[in-house]
Amino acid sequence: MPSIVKDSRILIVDDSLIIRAMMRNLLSEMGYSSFEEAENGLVAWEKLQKAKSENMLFRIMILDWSMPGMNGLALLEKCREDRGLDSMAIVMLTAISEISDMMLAIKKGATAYVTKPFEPQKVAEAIKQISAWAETIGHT
Amino acid sequence: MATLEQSSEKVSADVVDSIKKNIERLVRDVFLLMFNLTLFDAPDAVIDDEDSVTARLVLRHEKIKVCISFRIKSTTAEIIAKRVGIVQTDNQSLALYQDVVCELTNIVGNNLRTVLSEVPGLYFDFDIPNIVVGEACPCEQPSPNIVFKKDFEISPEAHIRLSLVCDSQGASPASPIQAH
Repeated sequence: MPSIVKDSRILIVDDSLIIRAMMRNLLSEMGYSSFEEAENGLVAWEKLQKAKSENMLFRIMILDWSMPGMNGLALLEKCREDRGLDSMAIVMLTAISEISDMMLAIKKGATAYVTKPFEPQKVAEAIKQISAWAETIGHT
Repeated sequence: MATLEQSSEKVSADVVDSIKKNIERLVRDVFLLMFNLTLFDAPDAVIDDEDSVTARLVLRHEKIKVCISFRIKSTTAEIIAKRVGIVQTDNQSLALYQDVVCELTNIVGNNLRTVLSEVPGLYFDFDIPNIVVGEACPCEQPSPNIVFKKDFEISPEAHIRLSLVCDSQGASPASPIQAH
């Protein structure tokens, strides 16, 4: 039987082609098949709003912090203020590794925080934990 | 009691020591953790201007400027791209090389800034990397301010050059050539 959570939609938001490709590979290896990409916060916001209007919400967003235009922290804040997106799991993926920045992201509503350079396995573990949490509370 | 000038020199010396101690480890970690690639020393590396992309990043503090130059050959970027599953077309090659070198520079620069923040009282401004195609960074040129310069390879002909310059005199940013 297919896993409900692995059918969940995931949005990868990063301005780097390389990081998006790494995430695509990783998610495919983990068994996820439904994911989309955005190269900055504005494009991501449009995709999130479109998904919401079509009742096809993303369950998890993997979000880079430093991007041109709308950065990851600004997008995180917008999502947490938006009814409908406020329960989406958000994994911050960033080279900014100072404790104060991590605390800020968590305070603004990040579900998990992974610093670059990262081991792909660490990101996989974070996604697995989030998926398990989503399954426990019955999100689809 | 230390004079202001002595304090400034002490800060600069601490920063340089911290950089020397950490930079090589940071670069090796990035390649190993993210791409499962081991960096080997390459003292005889040849990195031609026309076959390389350079990103330079400036960390600025009121007392010291740190310029990081990360230069990779196209063959290195190709190996990294293949490693993460990118099948590239000729049209996207240059964009891909720029993306690789920019991302690597950002990661190393941000991690270096975190290391430097452990030196009491220091906080560095952090510029977006500038990309230079087919041209060496001025901070690769011989200078007494170069605190680190090393060539690596991930396989024969796939080279990476890392150079760092600390300059206590100038804290103004490098002129942007092309922003990422």
